[in-house]
Formats: sequence, structure tokens, C-alpha cells
Amino acid sequence: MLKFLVIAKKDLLVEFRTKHTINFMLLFAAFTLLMFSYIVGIYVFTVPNIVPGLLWLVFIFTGLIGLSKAFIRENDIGTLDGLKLSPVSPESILIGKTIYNLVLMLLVEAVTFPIFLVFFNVTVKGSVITAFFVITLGILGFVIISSILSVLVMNAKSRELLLPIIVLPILLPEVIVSIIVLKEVVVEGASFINIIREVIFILAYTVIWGFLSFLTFEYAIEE
Amino acid sequence: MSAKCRALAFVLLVTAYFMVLYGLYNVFMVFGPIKTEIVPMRELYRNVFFHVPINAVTYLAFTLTLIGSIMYLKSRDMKWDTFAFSSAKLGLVFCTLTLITGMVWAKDAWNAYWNWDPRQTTALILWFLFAAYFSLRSAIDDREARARLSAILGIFGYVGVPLTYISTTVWFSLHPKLSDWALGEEMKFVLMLNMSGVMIVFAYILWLEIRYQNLKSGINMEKA
Repeated sequence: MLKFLVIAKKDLLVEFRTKHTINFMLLFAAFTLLMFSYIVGIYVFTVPNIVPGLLWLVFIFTGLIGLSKAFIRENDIGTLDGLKLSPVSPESILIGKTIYNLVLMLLVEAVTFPIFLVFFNVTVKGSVITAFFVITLGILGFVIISSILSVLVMNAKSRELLLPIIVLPILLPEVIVSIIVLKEVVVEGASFINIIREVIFILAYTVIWGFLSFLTFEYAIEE
Repeated sequence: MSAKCRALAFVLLVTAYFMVLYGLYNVFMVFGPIKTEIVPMRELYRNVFFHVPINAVTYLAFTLTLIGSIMYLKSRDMKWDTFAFSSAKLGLVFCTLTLITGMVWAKDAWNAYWNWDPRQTTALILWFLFAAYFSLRSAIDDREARARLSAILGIFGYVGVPLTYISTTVWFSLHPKLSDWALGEEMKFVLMLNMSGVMIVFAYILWLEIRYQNLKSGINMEKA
């Protein structure tokens, strides 16, 4: 028998005994399918209409790769235990890590946003500052949500696949509202007053998650 | 104790069976079309008697998961983890059924199985939230860590329930509210009957599931 077939057979057997990777892959595929069909499906298909959604996809995938590192890196090299033993409250650890993540994401946003507008040849009909503000607000929520959730998957198997599966459903309500608002600013030229309702929703959602992660972080990090 | 428990469960189950049977008989044989401006809805309203009770059980199941998760973090008693996890399992099944009954209805009412109505979107998000809950559980081997971390995610996932509930009022939605339709007193009674029946069935399956999980893990909760 050909040797490579034996190896493939072995791997397939191992995988289908637990079905870990394939289940996670299917869930991830289903959820990205959902996001894509939402972005393309809710408005008439023109470039300015789908640009807000595409921009958010860029941020989501960038964030998923980068944001989990803050905790996972320290966990892997063992310094997280030192941090836990040191005389700082768990809340300080969480807030410190979240600020670190936020700075990284804001840098990415500041670089990506102008390039994105140029590449897609989009003129923002409303104020660019309002558009930037809306994205920043969404990113704040994204950072808060993914910081606490990366702690949950820290010691799990295939955590690279697991993290998006957990983060995306929690993030989606906020992202959807952010996409709607951004589209109103970019295409219809809505001013800040017109979108205040949605901004309050994003803000409230972010605050709820900040509050929830504050309450549960101590349980998440204990051994 | 246990034998009495089993007898009581059996009696309840038979009662629920007749409740739902009476409901079904009424829905298909007795009730006529309702008065409404929207013509197809005059017959399509019948889905209410399936969709609404199943959805109510979905919310109930996830609420029990929330309670079980909080109680686990407070007490560190494995029986609360089993409770939360079993309830979430059933919640996911009932959430799937809610989505399916909704989609079948939407095909006739809105002319598409799926059209990104806020209710559909948030209900699907709720489904994914608890699919994530089971993904996390399957990825952690240590029993204590699994219980602790999934309890946190069980609390997080509950955000989807109020979100789904308020979605029709916060965003523009085509999803009808019960108050939109002129359901007669008899219809409301049958709806309540169906709702109670499905809830009893849910409670029964939950009880079975918890017993099964306890047997599996070798912990006998009944004696504790």
C-alpha cells in the first residue's frame, strides 16, 4: 500500500474519532457565510453600499489574529502565573491588557481606514470624522469582547479555531448596527444627530460587555 | 422516592400529551380563519400554536442555563454544571426548531425562507452563541476548568435572549406580534395549553438528560 495513503487514513481516523477540527471548521464556515451574505444581501449591491461591511470584515479578521495574543503569549511562556501572584488586582490585569489591545487596534484602524477609502474609491458623503468615530466605537467593543473571551480559550484545544467561533456571535449584533450606521454616513451623508440612536446602542452594548467581563474575569483566570 | 418520582413524571407526560393533542385538534379542525387585513395571514396564523410555545421553551432553557451557570460559579457544585449544560443542550434543539418553524412560515408569509429580518438574525445569533458554548466544552479536557469556563460563556450567551426578544421593537421588523392578531379567547386558551404541554415535555426531557449525565459521570445526584 502506498505510504502516503496510510498516513492520510491515520489522520482521518484520528480526526473522525473526536471530530474536533471538522466541527469547528464547519461552524466557522457557517458563521462567515452568514456574515458575508448579510453584508452583500441587505442592501442593493453597489460598491459604497457594501464598503462598510467589507471594512468591518478586515477589522474582524485582523483583530482575531492579533488580539488573543495579549493573554495567550503570557500563558504559553508561563509569565501569567507570575502576574497572578503579583500584588495587583485581577481587574487591573484585564484593564491593562484591554488598553494594550485597544492601542494596537486603533493603530491598525488609523492606517487601514484611509487606504481602504482610496483602494475602493469611495467618497464619504457625510463627515469623515463621524465615520471614523463610529468605527472606533465599534472597535472599542470588539477589543473588550475579544480580550475576555481569549482568556476563556487560553488552555483549550485548537484555540485558534475556537476563538472566532466564540467571539463572532457575540460581536455580530454590534457589528451589524455599526455597518448600518456607517452605510448611512458614507452613502446617505447622515450627521451625528441622525445616528445618535444607533450610537447609543453600540455604546450600551460595549458597556454591558465591559461590565460582564469585569464581573467574570476573576473566575476565568483562576487555576 | 425514585419510583414515586418516575410515576409522577409519567402522569405529567400523559397529561401533556392530551393537552397538546387537544390543542392540535382545535388548531386544525375547529378554528376558522382569523379576521385580518393581510389575506394569507388568515390561515397562516396557525403556526403560532407551534412556533410560540417552542420559542418560549427556548428562552426558558437558556434562562435555566444562566441560573445553573451562576450557581456553579457560586457553589462549585458539579450538579449545577450538569444542570446548566443539559438545559443548554435542549435549548439548542428547541432553538433549531424555532428557526425551522419560523422559516417555513416565512416562506409563505414573506415569500422567502430567509430575509434577514431582525428577529431571524438575532435568533440565529442566539443559536450560534450556544453552539459556541458546546464548542468550548468539547475543547477542554479538565472537568473543573470546563465547568468553570463554560459557566462564564453560559452567562455571556444569555445576552442573546433579551436581544432576540427586543429585536422587533428596537429595529424595523416584519415579524408579527401576538397583539397584532385578533385571537379569540378560545384560541388564547389553546395557545396557553400548548405552551404548558411543551414546557412539561421539556421538563421531562431535561430530567431524563440530567439523570443520564449523572449516570454517565458516576455521580448519583438523587442520593445527595
